[in-house]
Amino acid sequence: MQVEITLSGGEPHTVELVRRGAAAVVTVDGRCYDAALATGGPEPSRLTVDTVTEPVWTAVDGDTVWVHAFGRAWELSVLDPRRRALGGAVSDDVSTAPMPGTTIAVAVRGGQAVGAGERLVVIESMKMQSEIVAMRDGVVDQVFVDVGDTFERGAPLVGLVPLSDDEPAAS
Amino acid sequence: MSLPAKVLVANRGEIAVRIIRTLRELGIASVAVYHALDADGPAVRAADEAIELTGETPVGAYLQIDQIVAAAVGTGAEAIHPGFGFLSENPAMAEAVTAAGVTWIGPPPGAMRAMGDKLTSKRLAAEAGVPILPGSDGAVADADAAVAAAERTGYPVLVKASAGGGGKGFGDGRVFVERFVQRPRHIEVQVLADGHGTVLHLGERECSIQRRYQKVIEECPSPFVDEQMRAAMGETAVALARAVGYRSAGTVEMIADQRGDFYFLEMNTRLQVEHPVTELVTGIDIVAEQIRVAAGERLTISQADVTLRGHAIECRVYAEDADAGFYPATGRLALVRFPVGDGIRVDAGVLEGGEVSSSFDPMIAKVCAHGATRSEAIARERAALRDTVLLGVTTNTAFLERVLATPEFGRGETHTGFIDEHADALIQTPTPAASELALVVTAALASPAFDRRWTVPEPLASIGPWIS
Repeated sequence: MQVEITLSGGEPHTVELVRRGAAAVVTVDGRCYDAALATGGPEPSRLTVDTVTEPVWTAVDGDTVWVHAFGRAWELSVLDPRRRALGGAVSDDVSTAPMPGTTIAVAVRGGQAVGAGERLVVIESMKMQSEIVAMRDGVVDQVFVDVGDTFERGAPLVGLVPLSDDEPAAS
Repeated sequence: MSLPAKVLVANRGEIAVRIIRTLRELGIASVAVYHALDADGPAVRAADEAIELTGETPVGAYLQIDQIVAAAVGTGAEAIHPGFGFLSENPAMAEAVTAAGVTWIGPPPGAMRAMGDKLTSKRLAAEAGVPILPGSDGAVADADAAVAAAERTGYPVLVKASAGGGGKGFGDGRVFVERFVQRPRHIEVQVLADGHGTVLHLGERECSIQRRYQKVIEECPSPFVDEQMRAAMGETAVALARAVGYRSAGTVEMIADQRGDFYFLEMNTRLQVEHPVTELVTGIDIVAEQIRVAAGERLTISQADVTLRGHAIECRVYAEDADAGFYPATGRLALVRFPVGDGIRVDAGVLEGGEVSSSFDPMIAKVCAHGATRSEAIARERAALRDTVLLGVTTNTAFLERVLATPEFGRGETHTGFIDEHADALIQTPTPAASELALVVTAALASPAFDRRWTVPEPLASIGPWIS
């Protein structure tokens, strides 16, 4: 089985893994490494890659693996390309919250045509207001928030009517 | 006079935990108050008793004066410590507490009121002999008056809200004009006063490293302040505290220009977030002194007893993405390990498994280091930040370490525009390929994507990934 592992902000790596007891052979972008992750109770785990050993802390949350190593925390995503193909790609159809906050104003309603860059909602976070704008031309399908609603980062705010592949992006 | 047998802590998070620690050391029982979101939080666990508060919002719950006073009366708490933020600088709270026969661990309401308004406090500071920045004489009526005041003062000037702080206004329309200081340092003096006429200062803290007008790194002493300047700043701070009849712990905030002239900014009539660096360097427990003073005791120290030993640095660990505009981050803290070691102090307000939500201030912990010299304190603080393990929520620990690593910080060349000025040097450097490989391999080994049941027996495993 192959997965894509991406370090936050970086390029995806193609990774395969075959375990043999406590150790494993991990193939990253076509190169094989002897590797092991020995968990140590209250101590950090010990990562071994070929002959190099490094203390690491890990925490798994679904497709996200958090790693503390080299003096800081890192966020990595582990994606099964087959599952991604089934789930459908994230597109410009839905505008999501860039940070947690509160809805201050909603500028559009269902069925309304909008142009790329047009204001959809105004949100407030850290006492700062910012505008969420349409990523493309389209027609509003659904508004997920009302004025006063609070939301977490990544929450859907406004959805546009999905475009079919052969349909030009025009309102 | 005797200390109270039980004290209610009207706060949450790390500062509630920190106050409860001193209460325990003094043999005083503690009562926490909490909103339902904090029911499993560290303050509730640390306290001997806990009373739930309700409010329209989670923050609003901690602002319910009636509920908090009733909780103190109901549990038999003899005093209330407000911590900082929330109701700590609200004179109405102090009055309500006192009216209920409960001791207020803080300054008299009159001093809080006088210092709560920037125009009044600036006038009182000037009368007490604290240098103030030239500017308009009180609030300006309109734009024309502001321009006239600016021309009299000499540009550049700042237009400030009379009631505000941390870059935020508080619904009061009055503004005033003040000379703008280029590359200012934020330096503040810690004062302690009892009800028997003793007022003293515990030296200064420098808090110039700020983002979004909020402090993120503080140190004691300031690398800029020599004995003479310390004595001058301390004397004026003590004079102001005396002039307003101050009691308890307070902080006189000042800005210093590049020549070493200093000017009054405001007085914070409460315990300050960054008080640990002063405690590390003076060896004085400021919270314990507040409790003793509120109980009517005399300060047991005199100005001559206050000596600054070594150097301390505090970093505020925030749940935020420092590489993307310091946006606040949320999530569940799946793994939490704080550093320990010589000179290391961590005041934390989170527990492993706890949720960091957008309902409250995003500060997770204060990681502090004390050393014999400033460079030793910096080295220890950097190591402590590298050993601060917080997985599940993005934090600013790596960013803070990059600030401490700059040669300019090392030389003490700090000012309030430091983070903006050095923005290019503070950008995250590309991850070395070897580190990225190690991280990718770690993620592969830790991820449930490669189910452990698929373990392949030897010798087939050594052949490599023949299954796909």
